[in-house]
Amino acid sequence: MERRVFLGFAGPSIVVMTLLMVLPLAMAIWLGMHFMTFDNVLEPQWVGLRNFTAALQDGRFWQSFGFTALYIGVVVPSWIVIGFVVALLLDQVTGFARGLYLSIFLLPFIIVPIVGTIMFRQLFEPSGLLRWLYQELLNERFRYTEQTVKSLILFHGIWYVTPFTLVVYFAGLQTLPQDLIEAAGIDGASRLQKIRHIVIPHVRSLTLFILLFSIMDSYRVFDSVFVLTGLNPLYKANTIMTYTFQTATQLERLGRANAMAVLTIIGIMVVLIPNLYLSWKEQIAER
Amino acid sequence: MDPVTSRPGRLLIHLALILFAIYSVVPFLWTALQSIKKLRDASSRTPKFLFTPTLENYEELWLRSTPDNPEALAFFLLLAFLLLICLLIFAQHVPLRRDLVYGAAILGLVALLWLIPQLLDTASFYDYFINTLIVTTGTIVVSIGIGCLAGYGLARYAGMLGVVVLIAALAFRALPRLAYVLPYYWIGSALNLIDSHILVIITLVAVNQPFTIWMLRSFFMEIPKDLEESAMVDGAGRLVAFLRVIIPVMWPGIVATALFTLLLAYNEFLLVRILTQTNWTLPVAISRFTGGEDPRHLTLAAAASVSATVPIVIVILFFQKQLVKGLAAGAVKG
Amino acid sequence: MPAFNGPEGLQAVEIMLDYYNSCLGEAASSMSNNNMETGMHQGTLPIVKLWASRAAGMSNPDNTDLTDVIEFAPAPRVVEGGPRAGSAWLDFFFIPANTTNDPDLIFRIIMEAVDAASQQQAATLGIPTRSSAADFGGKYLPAASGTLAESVGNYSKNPANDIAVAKLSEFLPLTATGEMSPQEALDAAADAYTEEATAQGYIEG
Repeated sequence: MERRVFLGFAGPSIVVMTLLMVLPLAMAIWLGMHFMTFDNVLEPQWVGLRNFTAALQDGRFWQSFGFTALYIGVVVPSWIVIGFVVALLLDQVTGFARGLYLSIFLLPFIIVPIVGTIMFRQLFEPSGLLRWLYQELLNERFRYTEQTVKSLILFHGIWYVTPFTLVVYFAGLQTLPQDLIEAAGIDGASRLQKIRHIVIPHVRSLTLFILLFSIMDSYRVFDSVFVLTGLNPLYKANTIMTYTFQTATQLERLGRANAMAVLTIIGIMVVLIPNLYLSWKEQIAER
Repeated sequence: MDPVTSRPGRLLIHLALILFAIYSVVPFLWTALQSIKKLRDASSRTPKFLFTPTLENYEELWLRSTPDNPEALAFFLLLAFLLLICLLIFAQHVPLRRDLVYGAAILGLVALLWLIPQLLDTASFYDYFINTLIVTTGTIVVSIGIGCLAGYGLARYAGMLGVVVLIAALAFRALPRLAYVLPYYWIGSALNLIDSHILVIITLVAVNQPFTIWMLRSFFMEIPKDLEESAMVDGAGRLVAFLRVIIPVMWPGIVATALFTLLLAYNEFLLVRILTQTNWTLPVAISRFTGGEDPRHLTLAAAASVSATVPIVIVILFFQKQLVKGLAAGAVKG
Repeated sequence: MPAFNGPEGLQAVEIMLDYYNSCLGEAASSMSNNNMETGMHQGTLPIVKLWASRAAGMSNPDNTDLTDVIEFAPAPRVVEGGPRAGSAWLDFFFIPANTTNDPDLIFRIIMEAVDAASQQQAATLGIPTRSSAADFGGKYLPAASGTLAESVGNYSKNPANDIAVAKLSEFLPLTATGEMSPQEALDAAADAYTEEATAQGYIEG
């Protein structure tokens, strides 16, 4: 295919992405250099780099950065471990039961995240099932505090995305070289040894993919934190996304929020650049 | 892996899977249960499992006033809906041109959605539902339309420009969404488009475009080049060959991609929340049920959550295979 | 220029913080409207402040077991002939039935806090009652309309007031979490207020 024809086909998509992704990103930097509230959106005042320095000096910005890092640190390994274990178990089931289990397991991941979080929270409301269980089992009242709300966010994160890693690992297990497994069986390898020496190396590339994808995705966690904290500052459980959102909507500092959004991009570069490099190499190799 | 054959072993595996299934669905079951309780049962200190169920919450959510003959109306509407759905499912077996049947069924569904507020005094939740349908459908149509063209181009073009586009798309997909959503607010204000469907649709198309072109491209790669080349030898132009020969073979890929686009558009909260003031879609509308002044917060929020989930559950039941395949394909191919 | 970060403002915040630390604590201050209403239904909370729409629901037997034990009354007036629902009305005090402290002592503390002079002073100020409070029927209506008929009614407030409220609510919670001292929070709010009010033209720059 010649370049001219390619541009004809990909043109509309490239135009949309340039106009609505590249341009807005440049605009975010430009708007970040303005004092802007909802009252002066169209005639913001130029303030130079003040928003950027103010954001960097803002303790809550760094606090939200810290909680986001904690979220990634707890949730991503859990997704990988739980997803892998359940995929191994599911691989043992065949036929109708397999499809049924899979449908049920997918539910938390497919559902509207906001709704999923509301449902999750209903369990912990004063009349909720799990709050009642908590109180019966531990003989202690369940309260929304910094600690419990943060735990709920982490717990919900695990509940919500594990189905994704589960499905990916499950699909990976379907391509497992059977002859290797059989050969290992003849050599008298135990099940754990087979998992350790055949299955885990086989899904290594998938794990790398999940790792990169999950870190980037959980860096953007927003919906669940928004519902579970209600943006209450007492929980100190803002993530960078909710804090930027709060700065924009509740505090009406649109310029500062734009500056913060731009600054958060720098944080994601740590994972994004290796990811892009890998994809680039892969694409070049394909050609 | 080789299957576990011992009986206790298999029993344990099923036990573990059942436990995981319970863990996955407890929030859904509990919310569904809360949604059919009266507030006094729903706010009980010890969970109530025995109570007189009521549909009042759903009625209050969807309707402003109770119609005179609710049973007859519900029966008629449900019947019409089921008939149209059956028509869609069994279209292959109708001895008519298939596109005609699909067209009639979809037209019928639209007519039904238009008819409902004429017959019933629907509440604003119905409007949010319609908004969601408009936004989701619009996003799918535009996104798949331009995405197919781009995906095909990217699959067949070998030059460096293609790599640059793909990698740039990947980079933009990973960025925190607020970095463009806030400028969208500025763009929307400048064009006076805040609160309009068109702004939400076009921005949703843009933020989902990287994902769409990557996924569609991976499906186009699977189609052998000979297919359109033979058509082009016969004298058809590339675009004609693409439309006549490639697209019909691509349907499974298009359906799978459309499915993910549907989920992304239906689920989007942040972007819609910032770009709309009253024309909310369901996720934004539901988030309003969770505090503030609404006295029936518990049961109404539960009914709203269940109402928004049912369509998604139906989608999973019908398209589970494509979903799993799509998730796995996205993983394998990056 | 804002005056709320002066010595009087500081004293007010310190008193509020004192109340917060000695009477509320983290668990109570994180209660949502929903939690408070449910606590009332369940009998786990002795006293709450509810939105009119929520309170009105308390007369519906489908919503609560409390219908029989709940009555509604118009908001009190502190001085004879004064407005109903004056700002002193928001200071509610109570002695929990299950308290482990000396009820007499609590009573005396309350009486000390609501001394006649401060109540009289507060009675002249009022909180406008929203007319939507009368949108709910049943037992609730007579009480709501009674309050509405004799409350302070509407008054026009300084439009820059909203900015001050927004900026104060941004920073004052940080005194409760210990991230800012009262004076720091007030100064930060005053700076933010000045910036915003200047941009909107309420302060000439």
